[in-house]
Amino acid sequence: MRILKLAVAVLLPLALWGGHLHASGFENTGLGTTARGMGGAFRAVADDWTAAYYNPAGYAYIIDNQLGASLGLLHFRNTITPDFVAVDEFGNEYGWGIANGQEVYNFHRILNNPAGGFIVRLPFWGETVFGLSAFQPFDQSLRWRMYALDASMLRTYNEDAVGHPWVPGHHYLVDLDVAAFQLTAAREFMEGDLAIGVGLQLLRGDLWFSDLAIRANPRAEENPSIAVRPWDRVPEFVDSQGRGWGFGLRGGLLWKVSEKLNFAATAYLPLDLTIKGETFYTFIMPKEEFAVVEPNSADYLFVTGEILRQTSDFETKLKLPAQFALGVSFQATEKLMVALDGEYTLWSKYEGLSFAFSNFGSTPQFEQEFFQTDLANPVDWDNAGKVALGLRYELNPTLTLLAGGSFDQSPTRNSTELTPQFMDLGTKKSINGGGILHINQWDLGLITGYYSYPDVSLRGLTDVDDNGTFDNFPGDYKASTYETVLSLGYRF
Amino acid sequence: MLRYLILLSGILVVLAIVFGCDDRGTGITPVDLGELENWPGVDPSPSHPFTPALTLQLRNPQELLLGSAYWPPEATSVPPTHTLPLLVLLAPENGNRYYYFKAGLGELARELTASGLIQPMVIYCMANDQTFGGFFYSNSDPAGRYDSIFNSDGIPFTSGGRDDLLEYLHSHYPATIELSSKRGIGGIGQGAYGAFRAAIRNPGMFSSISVADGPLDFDGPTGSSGLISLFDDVVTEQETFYALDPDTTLDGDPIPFDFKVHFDSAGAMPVSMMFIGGSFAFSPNDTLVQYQRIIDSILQGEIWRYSMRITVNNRYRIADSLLPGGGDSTTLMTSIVKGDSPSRGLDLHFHLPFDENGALYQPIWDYWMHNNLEDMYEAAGGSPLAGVSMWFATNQNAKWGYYEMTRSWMDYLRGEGYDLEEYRHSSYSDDPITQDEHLFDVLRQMLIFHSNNFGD
Repeated sequence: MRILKLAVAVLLPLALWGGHLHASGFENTGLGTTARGMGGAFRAVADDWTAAYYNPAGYAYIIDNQLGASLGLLHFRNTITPDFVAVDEFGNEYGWGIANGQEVYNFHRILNNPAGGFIVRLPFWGETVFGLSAFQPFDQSLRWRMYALDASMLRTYNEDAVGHPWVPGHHYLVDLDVAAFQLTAAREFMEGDLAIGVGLQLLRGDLWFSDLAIRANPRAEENPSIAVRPWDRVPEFVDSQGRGWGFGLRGGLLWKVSEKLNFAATAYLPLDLTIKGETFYTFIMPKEEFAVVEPNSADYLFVTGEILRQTSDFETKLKLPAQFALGVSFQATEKLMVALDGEYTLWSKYEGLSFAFSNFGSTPQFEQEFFQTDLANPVDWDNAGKVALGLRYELNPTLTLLAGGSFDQSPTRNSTELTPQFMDLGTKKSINGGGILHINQWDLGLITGYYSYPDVSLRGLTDVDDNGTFDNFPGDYKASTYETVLSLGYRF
Repeated sequence: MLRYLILLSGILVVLAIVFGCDDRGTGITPVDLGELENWPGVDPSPSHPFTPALTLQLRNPQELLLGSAYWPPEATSVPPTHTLPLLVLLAPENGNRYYYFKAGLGELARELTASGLIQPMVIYCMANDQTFGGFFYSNSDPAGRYDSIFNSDGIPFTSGGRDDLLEYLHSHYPATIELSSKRGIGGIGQGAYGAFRAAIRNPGMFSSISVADGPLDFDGPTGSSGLISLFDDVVTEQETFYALDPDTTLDGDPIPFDFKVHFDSAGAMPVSMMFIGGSFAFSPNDTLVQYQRIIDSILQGEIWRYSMRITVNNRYRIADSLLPGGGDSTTLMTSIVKGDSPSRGLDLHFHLPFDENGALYQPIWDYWMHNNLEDMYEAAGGSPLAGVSMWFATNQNAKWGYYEMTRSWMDYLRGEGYDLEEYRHSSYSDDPITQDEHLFDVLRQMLIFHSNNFGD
């Protein structure tokens, strides 16, 4: 029990210490150096503590007790060249403060993804093997600055806002961490040929979501003279932070077809998470120095160039997708193992984040509907598949070499509602490699990986829900990701 | 071999980590305004009395030509450290001297200059009338004698030239270059008309003209459209406005609408207002008032106070010529400006070019057509716009048929052999343009056009 307490003490802070890996959508690519080094093709291998994530059934065949941890380090090197413009029938373009035409980078940040777990054979329920682990099945983190009146030559809108300390420094941001604390149990059936494992997850979701909406000036109806270009739209920055709890179930089977061939099937069924928290709003109001309007009126509010801030509570439902996967591994030679995984994630369930706001504070007295609107961006994602191929070569008792790669479909591949927060641009390809050093009972791992995304050019603003705000972010999108995973394992 | 492979892999791993981790910043590069960062940009001072050009202008007892300007820091240095081109922008009907600044001229000019998209220049913005629907920058007593203001008499402003805009501006901004190749003019709506009028009246004064849709061909492409198409709208506008007035009954019985009696100048009737302005500009009843301009001085305590009064010696009226011996023309309007403050006590009346049924009244329409750009162009003889670069912003939804009138004038100019630049743009949701929706974007293009034309 001592080791159980020790493990909980180590794993809990690790899981809560944010981390960021991703596969399609906002799914984590995985964990552990062996699995990541093999490109994620690990379901039919599943022979270390990370099987809790890939295939809980693998625990049944692990003979020794294990304690392990891994740390993924990532850098998303994404680029967007915004083309956030309206285009008239003669091809003339006009925008509202987004730095169009400039290559904009996501904020520099070395992201970390800690994970850990242990496996122990306990003297009850026969040969059942138990494990406790903490990791992040869903994860996304990107942060952008896109709005710049001085870079888009639109000081006219409100020169006072340039460099104003109340204007947020980031405008599009998602920092989503869904951490799972999983209790895993697995045992063998059919005289060692088949194993089944299940993992019960307690999920904790932490969401930080920032969005910028370029909203239609609500005074256009009443007083069109003050709602002309460039004051026809008002930027609203929405910044929401909250958290919630939920449950998930992961199950798998591992069939040893022959001495060399393994077959695996897994399923993951997370329940929706309800996230609650607080929202901060910032509005850069139009500044029209020469406009003549009634003092203390709605028009006055929309010409004096104030930077308005307000707060509210929010609640949103994070709809997490189910996933099904198959895997096969083959011990080609005494030293070489080849593994192949295929997975299918039901991303069509995810519909974007829709916020229900309440308990508004300090909302201006005029145009209250404008200041209290939910600006959710609905998305229309497709289910996505992934194929991974991995190699593991036992060079000698001290060193194991790993190599792998994957093809990963994007759930947004048919969508025109791309936004900077979720940049999954299409089928991405990864190449991974590294090794594990075995010293007595210790395993030290290091792998690195590179993810290549197709370039995407998106043109034309859309408003699919017809709420007066744009639901996409047109521009030229480029992305690549560098990943390094370190691991430490102890067998006893 | 295997060792080398492992070593090479290790190096690649390290390189991948290092390359994948460097800080690129955000990539956003703002326009550095440099010395223009805190530059005010707007100079409200260049409003000046223009005598006698504006002595009898309605609602202008101080004879002021109202204007404002954008000027870069080097514009007023004496002696000049830089030479700067000059751009004159004319406001449309109802536009004041801040019309272009309201659309962002100051910030635009600073940003475009700092980014190198335009060269530093002085931009003088002339106000239009805001009470009587705009004066078309024409040449009459009540509307102002703008032909005289634009006509350079060659007398330096400091030596007594008192109604010469260019001399005044070159004096006010010593760094401006007194070369026509470095002078441009532009305008929107009535300002577009005024820009072309000034250029036709003064060949060689400006090297570039930029305009957005305006009344550039009074009778339109067919000879019976253009402003003529709006006559009915005025009658309808007046009748509708009159019907909404609760005080149009006598002892409970409605008083029938009498066009000449009840014709009104309320700002709620924009088309009517435009024709009132035009009538003051092109068909005022007084075609020439001979007067004495007397300055009275009174010593109050230790301070001398000055006032000006006008003594009229003679008046030449259209009505007199249309109906010898005095009397009335069919469309003379006498109820708008009576002998009160707007007109220094003069009853400055005007003739509409159409009657109470909206039918064209030819004797007065002829006065208007003498001021039509085509007629003025032909009257000038030769090619008064030779060497002038011309830029047009057009929108099919421009108000009051301005689009058709503008295209008709463009067709005429092309027929005369001119090359024109056209910037076509459409409206939001294809709505009619009523509130200068696109001025910000059009203004940006105008500035770039003129800057390119000024050359190095």
